[in-house]
Amino acid sequence: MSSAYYGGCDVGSTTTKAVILNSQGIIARSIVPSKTDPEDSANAALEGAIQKVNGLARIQDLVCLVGTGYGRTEVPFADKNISELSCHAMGAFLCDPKIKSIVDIGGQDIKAISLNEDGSLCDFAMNDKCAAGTGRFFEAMSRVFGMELEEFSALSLEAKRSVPITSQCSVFAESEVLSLIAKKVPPSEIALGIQESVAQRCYTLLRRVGLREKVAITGGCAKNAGLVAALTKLIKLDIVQLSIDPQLMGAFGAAIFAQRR
Amino acid sequence: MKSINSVGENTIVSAFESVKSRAAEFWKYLRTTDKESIVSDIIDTWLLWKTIVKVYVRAVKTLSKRGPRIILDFKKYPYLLYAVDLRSFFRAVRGRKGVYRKSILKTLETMAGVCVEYFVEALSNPDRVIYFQGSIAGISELCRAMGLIPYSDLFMPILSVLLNPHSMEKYIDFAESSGIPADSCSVIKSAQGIFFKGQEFKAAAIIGNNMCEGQVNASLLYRKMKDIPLFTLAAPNNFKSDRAEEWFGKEIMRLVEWLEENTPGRMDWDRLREIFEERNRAVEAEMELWEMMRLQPAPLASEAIWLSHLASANLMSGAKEATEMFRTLVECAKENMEKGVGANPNERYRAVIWNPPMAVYWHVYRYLELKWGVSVIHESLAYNEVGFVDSSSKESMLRDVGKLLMNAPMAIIARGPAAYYLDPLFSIIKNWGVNLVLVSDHVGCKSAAAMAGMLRERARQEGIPVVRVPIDIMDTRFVSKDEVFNKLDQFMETVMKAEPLRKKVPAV
Repeated sequence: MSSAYYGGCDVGSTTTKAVILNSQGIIARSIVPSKTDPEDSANAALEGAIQKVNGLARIQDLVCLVGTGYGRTEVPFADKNISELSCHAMGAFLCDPKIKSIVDIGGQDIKAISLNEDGSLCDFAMNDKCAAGTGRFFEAMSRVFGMELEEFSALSLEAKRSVPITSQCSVFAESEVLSLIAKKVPPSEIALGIQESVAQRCYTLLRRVGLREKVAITGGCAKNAGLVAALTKLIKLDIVQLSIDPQLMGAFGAAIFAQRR
Repeated sequence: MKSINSVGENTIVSAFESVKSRAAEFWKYLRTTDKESIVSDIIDTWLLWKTIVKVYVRAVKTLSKRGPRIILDFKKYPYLLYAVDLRSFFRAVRGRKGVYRKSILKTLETMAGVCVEYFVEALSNPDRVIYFQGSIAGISELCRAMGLIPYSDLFMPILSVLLNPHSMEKYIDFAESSGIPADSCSVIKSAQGIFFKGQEFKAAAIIGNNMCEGQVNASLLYRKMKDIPLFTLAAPNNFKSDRAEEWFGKEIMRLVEWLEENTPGRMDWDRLREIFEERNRAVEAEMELWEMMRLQPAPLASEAIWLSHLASANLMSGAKEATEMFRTLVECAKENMEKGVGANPNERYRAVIWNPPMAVYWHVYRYLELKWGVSVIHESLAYNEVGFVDSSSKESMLRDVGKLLMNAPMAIIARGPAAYYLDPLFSIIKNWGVNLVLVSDHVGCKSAAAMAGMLRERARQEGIPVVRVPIDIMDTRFVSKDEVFNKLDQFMETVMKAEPLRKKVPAV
């Protein structure tokens, strides 16, 4: 087994992810809540991953470390920092080279990415002005329902019809949901309405960059089964099941860049 | 006492440390830089300071014509104070060298000098000021020939944010709290805010227009609120036709007659001819400059192109200063051309700005130049389909004034079919070897937003990368400077797959 280890670290607004790989593939991963200082977050995530690898004692033992992150949040001690767009693109492309469109739904923003045939980035669009449709939005919604995120995401799958929810503002959406619950509208229908409003937002961004199959969702919200179903219905294309945790896609892509350096 | 002494001591110590570190930096510069470069840097610095002194001396001389009234002027029109601090202007040359620096300094010097004269003239002769909505190319010449002083309501807002990006925020807020919708264009809101606060220049008459929805709203507002005559110029929607040009030419004649009835102005047709002939000389030089911009690398770029045009079209159309400025720019371009060098020694991308430049963050073009090798070689405000004015007859001059107004940059965004907006862009791309389009998605401009998809799809078909930057061109609170610069960095890194030329660009 090769002893060369490569690291990728993705400092997100909500969680920080680290992936360590070698020539065999991913051998360790870690997801930790982000702290105020990106350096602390990166350290915590990398330490979490390193502990799981026998041949590694510290971050400096990595042959190469590539950092990425939300906005220009960097991993200060990384050998290189690469845009999260490129990292997500790399990661998704390696999972399936037929992927041409990616929507990354993170803690605080949504990005749509289109890829060229060789996996390089062709275009991108971001919704970073408002939390509507992001991880924060879903956290707020599941709080309103008094449920955990996983429970909430499955709830929409039970609905036979949906209730339209505003997709303009997460604050307004929250008050709208509260008033619907008070009117005894079935929660599953409200949940489906929420998923559809986010799916619509994703669809708009995807169209902006040019929607082509295959399509993948990355970021933590990709684990939201209800959202995946709503988006699949809207775009009329199947969404690829990624072979690794979609939340780790940025860190995985960064680690691949590290390996290729 | 002890704490004051500590403060004093700390101040002296930190000043000393600062001088020490500057001296160390300077010593390192002398040791690591070749003699030729040092000499060239000295010349560049000398040129900068010479320009600054010239500008301020001219400004003081001009302002002194107002005498002590100038103090009252600054009190009554507080936004004029932004024009006193020109640091933002002159810092634009940081990182730019040689002839290119000279060309930008010439542009800034001309613009600064003419601005002050313009204000003093308008302040001193309120009975002759004609308040005009929007870009005044065309109207400016007409007014001058009538002995009137044209004043664009958008001029001061735009100049202010170029000098201080936060300068119009209070006016925008005041306009909104006075009832102007928040999603309306902030360029016009700035003018409206000045108006609502009663800080607009006194004028003899107002010329409104229907260039865009914001202008129409402002026109209605001025009509209701102001007790002075207002004439609304309504240009046809499909304006690229003989019928439209002929009709609008008659409207311009109607405007002239109206101005003669309602203001002290009297048309001197010979004077108008002279003004247009001077304008044509400036345009000739400008077109020669554009021709040279086809060279790769471009001999000049950025502010020498877009800011020079903004200044000439809005401040000094038909004035000798504009001709002199463009001729100097042509000389600078020729000098670089003969040496076989470009303005940007690291030119990798040739960009066109489509939609108005990002006024609040206009230093972004310098940033792109220094960090990513992007040369801005053309832009939508500068592009001029009208070209020369036919000064052979009264009718031809009036028709061409109409054409200038109908083809004004914001007008092509807001009126007529989408082809009026898109075709010139793709023509520039083809004829100037452009490989990158920079679009500022000004949040208040619904007309440009409506065509965003069409521009994107057409650019995609033709394989031209387009970066759209959501922004409010007058208000930093919508999108911060960091967000704009980060977005552009992301685009250059991910879509253009560029490596930065340097990690950090010296700030302005």
